[in-house]
Amino acid sequence: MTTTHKLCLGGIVITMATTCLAYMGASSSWQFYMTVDEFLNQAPTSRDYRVRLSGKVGHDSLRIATDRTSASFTLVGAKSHLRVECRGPLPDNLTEGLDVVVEGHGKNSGLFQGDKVLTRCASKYDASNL
Amino acid sequence: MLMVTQFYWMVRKDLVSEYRARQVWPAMLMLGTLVSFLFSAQLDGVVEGRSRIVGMLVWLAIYFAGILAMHRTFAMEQEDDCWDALRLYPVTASWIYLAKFTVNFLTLATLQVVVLGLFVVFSNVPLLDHPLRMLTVALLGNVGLTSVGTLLGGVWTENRQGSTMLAFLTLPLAAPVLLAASEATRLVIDQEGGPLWWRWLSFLVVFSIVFVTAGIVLFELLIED
Amino acid sequence: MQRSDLKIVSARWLTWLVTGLLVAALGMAMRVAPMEQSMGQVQRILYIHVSVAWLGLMGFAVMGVCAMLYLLHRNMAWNRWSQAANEVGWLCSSLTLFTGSIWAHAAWGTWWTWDPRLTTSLLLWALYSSCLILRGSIQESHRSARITSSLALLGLIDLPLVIMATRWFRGIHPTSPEMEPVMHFTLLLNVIGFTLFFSLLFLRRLRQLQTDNLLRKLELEALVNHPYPPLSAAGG
Repeated sequence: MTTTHKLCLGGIVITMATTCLAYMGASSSWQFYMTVDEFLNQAPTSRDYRVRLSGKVGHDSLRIATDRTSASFTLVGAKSHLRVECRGPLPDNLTEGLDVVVEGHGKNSGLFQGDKVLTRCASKYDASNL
Repeated sequence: MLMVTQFYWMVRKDLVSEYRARQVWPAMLMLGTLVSFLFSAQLDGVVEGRSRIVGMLVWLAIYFAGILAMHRTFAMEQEDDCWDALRLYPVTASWIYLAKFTVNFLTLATLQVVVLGLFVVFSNVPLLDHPLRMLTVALLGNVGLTSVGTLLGGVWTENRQGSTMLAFLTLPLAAPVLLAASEATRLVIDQEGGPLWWRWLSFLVVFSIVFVTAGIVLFELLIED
Repeated sequence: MQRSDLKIVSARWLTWLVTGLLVAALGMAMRVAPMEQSMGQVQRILYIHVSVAWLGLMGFAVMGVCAMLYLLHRNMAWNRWSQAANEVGWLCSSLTLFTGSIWAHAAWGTWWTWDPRLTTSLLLWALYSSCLILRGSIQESHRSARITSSLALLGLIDLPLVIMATRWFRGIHPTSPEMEPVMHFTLLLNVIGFTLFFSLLFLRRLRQLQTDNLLRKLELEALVNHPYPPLSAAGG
């Protein structure tokens, strides 16, 4: 068996294994974040672990403390929503109606205790009217 | 059959010479012990997220002490030009890789037993409540780290600062294993089985397949002169 | 490609042309392209970020392919290609992480997060760095080339993962968002400008390496022809 044969065979095995890995990663439970609906579909008792949740900040729900160290808002998914309390540094552009990802723990009481908020970019870049 | 016999003797020679000289194991076990001890001592005040930290520290301790060993299995071939003699041996480089892989695997397994034991005693974390799961994670993590370490270890047989270079260059390639193994260990400690745990395990399996294959294919290129 | 074929890359007019195009593209990004509504001025970093990110990936592909060609033919010329791609690609990859981090701080509110695209890109940068360090740390040229090429070849696994990360895995990094036509055009111009600029840098580095190789060869030849140079000549 020559080196070239070996390289080709090795390349095939490695490509197959990587494809397999990518396929696994693409299926559900190995993700950067969960949606609000997915999270709430779990049994309430199994929600007490660290997770990132994605959703919209609900209208008329955002309350930011004057020193900007904490905030509370409703995280809205496609079907359901969740109350979030967040302690920790907040992004400057946090506003209502924005897509965000919150990192934190679920609580049994139905409250989500977050400690970090990431705002997501808009999916379309529009020119400002200014 | 001949291949298997040759393979057996290559592994046996390393183990016997290590048993006689006892160069690598004491240093490696000492380093492993010290690192585990220091990490555990520092963990004393931590309450929240303990399992997450322990998961990572266990694997860091194994990694740093393990690199020392992986370098030594090649460095010891330098004495009396053993390395040249080994390469004159009528086997392909792939078999040399597999033999060195096996020796490194056994060494790292010994180290893992010590490190895991120390962490259980000192850090008070239920690492061994699911012994079978922990064993699976430890074995797969071992195969992943050893496959990378052995592949690159062949590069610095003579270099004096070899073990530093090895630790440095193995890290980017070994980082996925360290992360996956730490995460799987955390899930073992937190007693969360389920799909996530299986996913990390399958990641470790795929990684091992990739790098053992790469080792068998590329080792020849790395050691030829 | 031989050294003499690359003579054009050191032509002064070409340098001015390419630099001029890059400056024009950047000027468009700063002045002509409209300000984005939700992110404001900081969104303009997109034009640089996307351009260098694309070149970082391209550089790795070139490095990998040349590494493979070296391993097949054992011709040091391919290793020089691979080295030039490694150096320029590393620069682009570093710039990608740097500009991305600034943008992320403004747009997401964090300097770094373990999104799949970010993680795989960091790994790509680490692989670039490893190859670069390897090249410098082994003296013997063919040995160094062989080992670096093997690592570069192995590193190619990460390339499709970076490219497909936003499509295969769920993350926070955007996947080709829609934008205004003016923005699109500016982006295209910047990608072309940066590509030409870094290609020139790459070719110049390649020529430098080739010249270096030629000098060594001449030095060796001179030594063979005149093994014992007179003392006065050796002193100079």
